[in-house]
Amino acid sequence: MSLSINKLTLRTPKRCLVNELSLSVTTGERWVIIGPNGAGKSSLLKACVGLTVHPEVTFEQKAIYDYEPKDRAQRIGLLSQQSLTGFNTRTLDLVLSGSYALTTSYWEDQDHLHAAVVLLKSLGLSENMNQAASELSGGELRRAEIARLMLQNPKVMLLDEPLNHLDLHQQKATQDILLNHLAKHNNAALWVEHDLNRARAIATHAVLLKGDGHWQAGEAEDLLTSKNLSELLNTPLQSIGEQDYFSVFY
Amino acid sequence: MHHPAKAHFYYLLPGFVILALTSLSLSLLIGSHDISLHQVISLLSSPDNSLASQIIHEVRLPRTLSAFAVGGLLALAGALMQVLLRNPLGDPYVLGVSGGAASAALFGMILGVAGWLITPIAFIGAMISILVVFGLSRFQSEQQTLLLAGVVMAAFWGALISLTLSLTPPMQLPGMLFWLMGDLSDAQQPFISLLILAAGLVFSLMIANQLNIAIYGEEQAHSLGINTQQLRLKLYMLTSLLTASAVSIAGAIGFIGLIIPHLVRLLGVTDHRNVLPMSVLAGGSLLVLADLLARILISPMQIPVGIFTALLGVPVFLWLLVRSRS
Repeated sequence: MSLSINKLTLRTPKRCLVNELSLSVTTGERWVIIGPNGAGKSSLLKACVGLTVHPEVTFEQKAIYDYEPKDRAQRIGLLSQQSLTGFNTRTLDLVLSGSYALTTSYWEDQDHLHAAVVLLKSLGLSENMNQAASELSGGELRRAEIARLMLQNPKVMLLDEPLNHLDLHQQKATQDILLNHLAKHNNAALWVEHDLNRARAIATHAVLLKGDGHWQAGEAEDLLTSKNLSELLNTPLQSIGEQDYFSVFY
Repeated sequence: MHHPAKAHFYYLLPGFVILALTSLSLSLLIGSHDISLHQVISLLSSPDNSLASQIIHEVRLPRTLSAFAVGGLLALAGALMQVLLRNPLGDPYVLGVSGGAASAALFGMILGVAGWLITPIAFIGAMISILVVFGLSRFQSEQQTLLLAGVVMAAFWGALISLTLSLTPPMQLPGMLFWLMGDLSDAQQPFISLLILAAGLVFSLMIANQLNIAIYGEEQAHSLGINTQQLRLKLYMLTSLLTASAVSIAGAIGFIGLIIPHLVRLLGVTDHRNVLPMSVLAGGSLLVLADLLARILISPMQIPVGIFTALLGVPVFLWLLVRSRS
């Protein structure tokens, strides 16, 4: 199982964001994507899920956009930054929509309904199940969307700042739930993350996007150094403590 | 655990069926000529040569069924457009789709094309309108911009209609004006429109589970396994066809597509596998009742039913607009 990117170039009308990026994500790996604002992090995820047509992105040697939509959704799924609830849909139905690609039947599967309930409980949303998703707070909605992606359970999860909008204690809990899920199913993840310490804690691999076409990809240990990151983010950084936490110089 | 969407389907849907049957019966029963319920029932099954039989079979029945079909078509078109827009303010009349269909149909009438060609011509007008409005943007676009584009399109069609009318021979004017305002008094052939309604409903129900996901926006719908381009194309075609059929029968009747799906959603129905059939039944019922009022209120004169729906619809629209902003 692998998601391969072979010489992918992403550009805006004015400039080149990523020039000939190549990497291969295999089972169980967790790739963090780090870079300044507008460096093409979200664009990279969109290319990976086939929202933009890029034959350079393949899953098991077949271009992502060539897959049947349901087949694709079983292999690769996106938690986008854009959160939309739509009318007065209940939170449970929002989560249940993650099962669309998993079934051929017209009505949702009873097993998926149970699974959605269990996921909502594990993410601390059992009280909100029958509430309209549009009435959820930003953090609650985010967790509901994470539950939906976990129900969809794609082989590769594309996570665009998944823990944004979450309270501090929810960040850690939700991060653990996501990591457990990935480990249990041996799934891979491409994870856009701004928090460098979290990035270091969760990543096996990293992609650094500079935003001017330059990039670096490889093992997290080699790439997530204070020297690399200071240069990338244009901010003096220093590793502190035994855990190698980053601290910013002001 | 009970599947909530199915529960609605089983418990609420029969209520809407009863509503539809009641409104259809009332419309057959009430009119300038007194015909008893007993008489109506016996005449429906066995027509004779009496005046009452003629009234039922040649006047009230076609008009009632046409009203139901048009109401159902518009409510269904509205529900689908709301998914396209991801906004409960979607309505074929507000977004200028009815205007496009009406302009094209009017143009066809002026040119004197055959009656059966009016619907296809109206379909082209509706398609042009919908492609302009939605083509400007896509699922994820700024929704208020989209609404504004629709409103401007509606104004454009309005001007085109006025131009056409000003060039129309005076003899034809009253009939056209009545039709434009939304009028069912000339509706004679309900069966084709009922057929289109049934086909449109079946087809919409086939994609209703995808509609449930499309409301989360293009990115999420794509990621969850929907072919969003194909779905959007189906919705363009379907809403155009439904609107065009309704407009060719009864002119531009507004706001049914806005009010009805919204009322259904207010009842707590969110699943489109339920929203769509319930909207059809409720939309049909509402227009049957509105048309009943239109023909008896100042009888023997008749009011174009479109005026009623607009008087009812505009306040509801404004209320929704305020609510969606807050």
